[in-house]
Amino acid sequence: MLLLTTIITWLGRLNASIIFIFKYLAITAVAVMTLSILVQVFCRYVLDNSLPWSEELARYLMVWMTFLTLPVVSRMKQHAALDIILGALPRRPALILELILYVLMGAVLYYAFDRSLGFAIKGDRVLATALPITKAWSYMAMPVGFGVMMMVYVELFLKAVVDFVTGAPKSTPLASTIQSEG
Amino acid sequence: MGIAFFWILLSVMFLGMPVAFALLFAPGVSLFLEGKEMFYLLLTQRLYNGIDSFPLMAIPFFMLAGEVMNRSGITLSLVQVSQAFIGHLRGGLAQINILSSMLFAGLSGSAVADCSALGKMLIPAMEKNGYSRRFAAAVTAASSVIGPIIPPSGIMILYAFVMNVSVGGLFAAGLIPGVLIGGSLMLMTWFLARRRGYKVASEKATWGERGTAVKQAFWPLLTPVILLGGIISGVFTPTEAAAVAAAYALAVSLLSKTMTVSSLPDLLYATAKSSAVILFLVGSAVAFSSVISLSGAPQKIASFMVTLTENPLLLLLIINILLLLVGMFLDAGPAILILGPILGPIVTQFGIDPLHFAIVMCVNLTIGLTTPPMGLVLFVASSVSGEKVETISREMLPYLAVHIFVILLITYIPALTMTLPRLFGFAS
Repeated sequence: MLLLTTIITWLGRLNASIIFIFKYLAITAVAVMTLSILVQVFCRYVLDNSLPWSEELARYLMVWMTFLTLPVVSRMKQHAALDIILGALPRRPALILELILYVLMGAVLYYAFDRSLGFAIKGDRVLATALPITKAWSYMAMPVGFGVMMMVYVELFLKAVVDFVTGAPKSTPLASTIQSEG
Repeated sequence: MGIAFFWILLSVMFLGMPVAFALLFAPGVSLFLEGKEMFYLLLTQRLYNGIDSFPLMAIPFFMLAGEVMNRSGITLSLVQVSQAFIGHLRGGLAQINILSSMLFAGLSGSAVADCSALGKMLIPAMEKNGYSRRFAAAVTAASSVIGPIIPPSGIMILYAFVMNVSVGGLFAAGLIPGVLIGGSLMLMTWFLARRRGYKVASEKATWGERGTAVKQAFWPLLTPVILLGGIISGVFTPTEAAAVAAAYALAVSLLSKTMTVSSLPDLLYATAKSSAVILFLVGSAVAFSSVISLSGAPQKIASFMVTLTENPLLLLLIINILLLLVGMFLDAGPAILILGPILGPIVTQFGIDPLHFAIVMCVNLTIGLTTPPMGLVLFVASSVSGEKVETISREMLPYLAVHIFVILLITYIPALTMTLPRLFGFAS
């Protein structure tokens, strides 16, 4: 039990630091993405000279923005989900269901990580359309995001195990609702 | 392959697996059972393609614009404009609430943003003015449905993306239905106010006072003009228009000193997080839909529908009931991503215009955000007002009746949605 809490503490610190670094990378990605589209608008409508690379750059940055923030969204349990059953169950059955769901989601993430890594490595042979880089630069966002998400869910899984054993009060359900309707 | 994946999807979603994961898990399991794991790579590619998309980039930009306007004083100036024009009506603050929602809808594309921004300001004000808090919360929730119907609209961008219709066309189509919802809610409020003796909010304003209010809100009110003008006239792509709107809102807030540069990183991070949730969902839904087409499920469902009815009017009624039921449990975004590719082709076979159906679906599912047990807007109204979800939804019943009436109007009078798109050349 002590070993478990130690693992959770260290894994939690590791995840928190990765998320902290990702935060600033994601902020930069959004800022540069917005700027590049504004520059594109300016060049096309004011200078009457469209840029070949701005759209592709912005798209790749958006992919990175997504996968850099998915770990924190997962850790904060902010994915859109239905919690009618999970929220209605008593504490222990809810925790068991939660643990099962984490295992299933872990399986999804394992395959997603594995296949997207292969996809990214193959992408190293494909040149981007306008930017002087290979598509691997954008594809790599997927394994990075899925990999860190796996670590986050291991942390959440272990925490739920501890909750189950120690009988801590019912925590928030697996996911809370968030502005997923746009 | 069979449609086992559909039942797997439903089960794990109800058990509480986040929708984006469930959309990958279900096809994953059914492919695994059939020994077709080589398709996993295809799913991954489709997931990537769903996210790496220029049209979808409008979503983070609209989110950014929304975040900016939420944090600056724009909401207040919109409320002041509404008060100057209709504060003297019976049930004044309730009417102001609805009109402000309509104005806010022209700036933001989200019902949740609408509900939280206006609720924070107007629910306490209404309570002070003699309304019950539950009624104040109900009006706020009911009127925030207009948010994603009057353009811009997040869910319409999603719909346009998965169904390959024009965003400009959808935006033009949503305008009249949005105003119709607002007008009908105001009419119902007028009846309720008369029966319950609600007061006016203020004396009738003079035209001079109205002018001052409009002048103060002039720069923010220009946003929808830039946005819609740019998109509908075809000058900007929706993504470019959204980026310009975000930059414009930022410039207005920074220049009017309602926001500081130091709050910018937090704002961008919030934008990144809420966009990531949606983009992951879109990616998963795109991966999922490739399995749907492999399975031939739309054809199966379509032929089942044909055995039910061959009458398009009846079909629309059935679909509306289905959507209302789905909307009780699922958010509008995921529902559109999952059901759009299934229902869209069926409806087109029956000769219904894709734009018309899109608006029916968007309005219906947005109303689903205000119905229990799962209603995002309802939850926000509850957390802003402190009233229970059950209490608010009971208080909302007259408004729900109005909503359903409007859905039927939009469904059976296509001219309401199709007139503007035809006028601007988005439909024939």
